[in-house]
Amino acid sequence: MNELSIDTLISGFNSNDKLVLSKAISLAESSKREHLELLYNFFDHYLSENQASIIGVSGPPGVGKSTFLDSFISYFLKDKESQVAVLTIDPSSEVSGGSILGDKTRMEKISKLENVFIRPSASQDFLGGVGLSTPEAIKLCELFGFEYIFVESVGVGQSEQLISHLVDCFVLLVNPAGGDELQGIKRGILEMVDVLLVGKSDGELEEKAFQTFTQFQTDLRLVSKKDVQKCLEISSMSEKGFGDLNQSLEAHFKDFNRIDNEKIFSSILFDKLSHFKSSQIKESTEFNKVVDQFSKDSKFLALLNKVSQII
Amino acid sequence: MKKLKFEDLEFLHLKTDSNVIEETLEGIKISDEYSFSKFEHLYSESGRFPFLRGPYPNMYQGRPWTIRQYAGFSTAEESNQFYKNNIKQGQKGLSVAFDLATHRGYDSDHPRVKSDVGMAGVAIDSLRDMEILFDGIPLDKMSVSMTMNGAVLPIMAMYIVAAENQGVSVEKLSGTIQNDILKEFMVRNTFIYPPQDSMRIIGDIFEYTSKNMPKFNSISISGYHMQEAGASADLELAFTLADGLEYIKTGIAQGLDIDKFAPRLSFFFAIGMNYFMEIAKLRAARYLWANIVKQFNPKNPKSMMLRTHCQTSGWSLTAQDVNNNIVRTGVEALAAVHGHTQSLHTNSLDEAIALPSKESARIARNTQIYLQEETDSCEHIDPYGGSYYVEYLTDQLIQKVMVHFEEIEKLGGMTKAIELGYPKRKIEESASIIQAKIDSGEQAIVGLNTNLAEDEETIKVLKVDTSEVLASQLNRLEDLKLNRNESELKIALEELEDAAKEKGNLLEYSVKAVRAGATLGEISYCLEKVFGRFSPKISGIQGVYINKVNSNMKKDIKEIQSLVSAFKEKTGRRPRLLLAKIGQDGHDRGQKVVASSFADFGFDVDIGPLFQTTEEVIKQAMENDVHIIGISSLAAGHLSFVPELMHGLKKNNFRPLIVVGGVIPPEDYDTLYLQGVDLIFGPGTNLMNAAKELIKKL
Repeated sequence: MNELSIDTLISGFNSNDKLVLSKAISLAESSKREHLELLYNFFDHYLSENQASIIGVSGPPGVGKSTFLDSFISYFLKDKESQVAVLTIDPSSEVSGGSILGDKTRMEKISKLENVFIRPSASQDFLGGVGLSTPEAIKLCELFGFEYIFVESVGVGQSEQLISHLVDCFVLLVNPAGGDELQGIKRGILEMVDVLLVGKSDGELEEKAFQTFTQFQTDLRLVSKKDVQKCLEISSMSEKGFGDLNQSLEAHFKDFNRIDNEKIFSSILFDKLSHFKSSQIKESTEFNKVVDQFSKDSKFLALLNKVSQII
Repeated sequence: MKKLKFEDLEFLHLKTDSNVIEETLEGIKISDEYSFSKFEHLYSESGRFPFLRGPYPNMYQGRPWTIRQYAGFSTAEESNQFYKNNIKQGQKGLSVAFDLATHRGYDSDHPRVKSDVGMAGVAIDSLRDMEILFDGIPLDKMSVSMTMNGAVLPIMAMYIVAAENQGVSVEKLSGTIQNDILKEFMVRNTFIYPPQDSMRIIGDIFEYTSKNMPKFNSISISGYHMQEAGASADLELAFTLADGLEYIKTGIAQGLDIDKFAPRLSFFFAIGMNYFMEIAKLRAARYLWANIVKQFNPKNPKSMMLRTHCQTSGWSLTAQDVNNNIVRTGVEALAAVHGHTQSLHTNSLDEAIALPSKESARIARNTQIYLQEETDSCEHIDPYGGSYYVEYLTDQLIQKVMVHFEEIEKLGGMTKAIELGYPKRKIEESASIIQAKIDSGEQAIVGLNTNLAEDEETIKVLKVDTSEVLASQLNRLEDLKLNRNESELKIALEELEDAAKEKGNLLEYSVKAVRAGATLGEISYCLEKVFGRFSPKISGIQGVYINKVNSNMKKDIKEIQSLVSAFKEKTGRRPRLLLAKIGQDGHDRGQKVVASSFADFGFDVDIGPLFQTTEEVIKQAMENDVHIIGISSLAAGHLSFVPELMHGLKKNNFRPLIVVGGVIPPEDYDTLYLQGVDLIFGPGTNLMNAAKELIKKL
């Protein structure tokens, strides 16, 4: 394939060419100014009516996020042919800058499916747990026409805070654990959760999972600011709880209406502000529209402030 | 059961008195001088607890070790011919190597195994193949050793039924089945089902063999593959013996008497180039095992006696200047003998580039004949007993292993530790350290990083044409499926499935299924429906290689990192490399070591799942938009999958750089280049040089 141009991007998206999508995500990952300009130029020119259901999955390292996604998505696709994109983020080494991206080895079942597109990205020393390029990658997948987009974050630090602003439905996966460990999960994160999953509810951990589940149900009721928050016990091995999770997602998206993709572009905004000093992409009219729209929004400015501090 | 503790060991803890001049890979401090305060253990005798000096009282004086050469031919007919020839020459046992598809429980007609049929061993799909394999070989007189772990049930069942059809009843069968599934989860990856279910299968085989096959060794607990994957001697020992302990617990849980099955457990170790360390390892192994089994209060001293098979290290052999390998194997064989192995396989000089040819196999076998007949190796018992250095190493290994045991115990035993990926990670770390030592020249390898040959001699290597094998297997399967009673078969498979869901001895039901005409793939799939097919969690380690590289190589690393930065400057992204494994070969040391070092160089490295098809590799490479696809080939699959890969990429209009690494015979290089491969890295490649070459090619 030759160098990407605005025309190849548009015709590739029109003809449903996944290699072009993949190359477009590479543009988002790129540190080169002309790549980002091309990308934002594309955003300005390519319109799509498609509204994907965007689901973020976060949780501490080792909790089994990839295994869960492999197991749940194959369950989810048992009786439908939906087009699904999965974006995963692996940490880059602070020393060498390189990374090992092994998520697909844990997604053996879904990585073989024709209707599932999986793209792992390196976090590129972005501390937020989502990758530097994640917002644009989500946007690209939505424009491309995927019905469902799952985003798996690196499970560290403030990642939950950021990812919850990028997605329509925020799922937090936790391990069965004792009371003290539960204290470690911050109240601020619980507030943003749409669905809380207690994993590994099988075998010898089943009892512990139930205790954890019970405690979280109580905690959620105390902190909740959302109308509906769900708490479920699941097992990626036995598919326990998958039926309920499926229903919860259906219910969540039934009357869901995302206003003008605002969430995603608000994220892109603070991302780029901090990393590219906005000047690099200010030519983009779409982008400027977002800035205009949100510059009067005090809530957004507060958020922006918070994020800048984190970074 | 009483827990084994440090204090219980009567062994003396020797100390080094003088300056430490070096530290081994195992972390043992080497001094220029040793002294003992007491010599008590030297009065221990061979043939008595704790068997440190040898399992039998008179060792090789009575009977030398058994020369047991493992060999794999693609078809049952060829293998049968080979066995018959060996029997004519007086061989008393035979050893069967199976092909990769068989290992993983697939029939030859399964779509995933096209390039694996007949690779690295014989293809067995049904009872018919097994009958041809043993045609004219009296199974009541011949000891049969079978290297099988994943598909143990159908293979054991076919062996049993083949004997029945010869008129040999099951209790007369003698031999060994490897059946060591735990190590598969750590290193070789030739498993089918998840760990817990696999352990149940082992329990069922223990039960069946102890009831019906008194002369058959139901397991061979293997450390060999751990050393081949990069484990240091202490790790090989600790994980192998811990596996052994887990199997004993499995047998006891099955209601078996310790004295009924412990004497039937045997071991299998690798012998590498660290001559004295390997001798110490075998001595320490016997000592530790005797103490481990003692906790279960056996009445028969044989229960505590460790008997082992050894094989010289395949990994220590080089693809460069291959005649050096004769000497390497000779030195390793000597270590195995001086450490008192019960049987031995010596590798062929061409092992690093291909499967052994007839000529190289002869030299390998003769290596052992020299030792038995031309040297005085059989005349002495434990010749290194009392050597300050070897006694010190033995003691140090015992201490290191006890520390590892405690860690494993803390994790909840070996099955749990394996599920958590602990031993795998330890072994991968060790492998990265070794790689860094070789790349930096700290560990010398003649012909590779020192004393390079000026004019390299090329040798003729064995070529396996598997397309014929595949065709004949497919014919035989088709014929079988036309001529069996489908309703009988259906009932037998249903009963097997029920036994898997409920309780019921799975080997017993597999035997019934084989009698009803079930194939290996059908039996395996029947169990897969209940247990699932296991896919391992793969994670890479970072920072190990780079930390071990010594100061004069730091410059090279800097150079690579600046090349990487320049690439990123130019293209916007770091070089992205997909490391793929195609086919059913599960050896992943190369993949892991390359992943970990290239990430240290600053690459973004995608690790592909094991056992992929070319289509899956292409899909992943495109989704990840990689710059390079690197494929590791260890079982001669490259000639069939490379054309497939190139064709698929062309169809998709996607053309990253293609690199092939692993066991590639030099005579295949031109073919591969013609097919479009950009770079080939054979065994012993210096990773820093490889990285530089790669970036320059991009």
